[in-house]
Amino acid sequence: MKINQDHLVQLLYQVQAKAYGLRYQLQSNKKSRLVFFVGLFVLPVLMLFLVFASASYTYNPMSGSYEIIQADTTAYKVENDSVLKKLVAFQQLQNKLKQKQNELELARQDSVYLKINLADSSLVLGIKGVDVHDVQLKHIRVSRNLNRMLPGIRKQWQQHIFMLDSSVATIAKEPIIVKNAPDMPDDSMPAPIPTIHDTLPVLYTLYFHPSLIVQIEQLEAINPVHDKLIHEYYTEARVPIQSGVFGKLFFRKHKEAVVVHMAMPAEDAKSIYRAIPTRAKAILKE
Amino acid sequence: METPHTAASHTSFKVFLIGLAFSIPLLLVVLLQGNTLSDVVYGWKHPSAQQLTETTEVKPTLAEQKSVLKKIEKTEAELRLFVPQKPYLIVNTTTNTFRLMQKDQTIRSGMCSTGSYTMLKGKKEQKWVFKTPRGMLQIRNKTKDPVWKKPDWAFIEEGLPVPSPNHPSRFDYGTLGDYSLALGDGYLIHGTLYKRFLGMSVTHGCIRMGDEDLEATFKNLQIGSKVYIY
Repeated sequence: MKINQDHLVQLLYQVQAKAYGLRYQLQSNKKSRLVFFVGLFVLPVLMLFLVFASASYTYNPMSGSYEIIQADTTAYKVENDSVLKKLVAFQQLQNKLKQKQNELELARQDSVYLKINLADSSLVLGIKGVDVHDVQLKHIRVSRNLNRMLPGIRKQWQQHIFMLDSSVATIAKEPIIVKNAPDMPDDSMPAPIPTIHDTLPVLYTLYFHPSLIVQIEQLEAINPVHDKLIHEYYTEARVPIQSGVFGKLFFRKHKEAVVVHMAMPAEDAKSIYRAIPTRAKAILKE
Repeated sequence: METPHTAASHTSFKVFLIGLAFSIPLLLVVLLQGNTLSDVVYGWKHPSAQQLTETTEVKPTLAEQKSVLKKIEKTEAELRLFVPQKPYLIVNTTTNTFRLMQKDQTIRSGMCSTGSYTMLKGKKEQKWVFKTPRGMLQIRNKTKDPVWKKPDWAFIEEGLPVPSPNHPSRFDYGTLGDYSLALGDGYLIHGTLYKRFLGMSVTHGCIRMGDEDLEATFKNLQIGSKVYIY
């Protein structure tokens, strides 16, 4: 569509006319002028207030409730550093012990489970104590909510064995193809012809309890043919915006969950999704 | 000529525009960067020592630290016991690949064929789903020159009448290759005549391998050896 100079001039005149209309209304009506000016200045101040009020909430994924704790930055001083380091080191040891104990518990059960290792960016599929599939992740992101937890709460949360609640995916868990038995030998199926049922892009979201969401996407570019499927997936699996005022005010479900986003080759992603049971367990290592 | 009334209205309009110029960027900053602002103001990423102390149940002593370290070592040793000392097999049913392992070393790897995920529906509401079982299995039996005793579905799939349990037509010689290793419930690791299908999901649940891979697997795995399928 071509836009010539006359059109632009016309458009500018229209904008000018609207502005004058608003100006006339503000001039002629004192009440509307007052409401307009007050609204204009009060709204951002109100928004700021909401942001700082919501920032005072400390996230506790176990209780599902929130406690208001005034953040204290004054106590963080240089002289406390050595105490802090010792405590952190000890906590890390305790964490490591608990994670190993969790791994042992999973290994004792005859189960397929996941080990999400944030420290070395890897995702490991384990069966009965043996690491059968190890993926070194090129891309991994963790949502801010992890940093928002108080250390004690974070420690408790990390020490959980997470249980898979539900999942959303672009691929089928079991790509079953139904075939009816033939009536006569002549109608029988030819010698096994491999079915190509795995050409779809691999994206999935795993919702674990308590409050852990793992999003996995393939590294390879997605064919635009699958745009509709991808759109449907994102609509269903959308994790609400977790930053900003709108996210805090309007999205309730999963809004405080820790989201771990990973990208890996499609083959790895598919292997892991197909392998884990519907109630899979996972441990998180930091 | 500009009247005093018009001049006043001009001034208020200017104030309005200035207000707008300040408010809109501020509003955008608050909406888009609310969390960053709160992080800056409250310093979330630096929990205070006081907070940390409050949430730590016990203040660590050297003895306690040693105790935790000892427990970690013990747990790690227990975990290591789960890794088989004898050779074992790992099969990926999605990529149709296998790895023959000795502790944490791969001694052989290659392509195989696994379950096709086909659901066969018979005439009498019979159903079979041809998929390879997942989890940890063990070698139950090893056979050289195995003979396949065809189950009912093998006849139904071909549109043939199902013969009696020990009818000669049930016994098929040569199709399983030179060796077979039984995993229980009728599932086998065996050879194949359809070598071009290695690397694809085409079987009725068994694991098919190429001749040389099958021989190496047969020689390395013993009865009781572990097979991890995922």
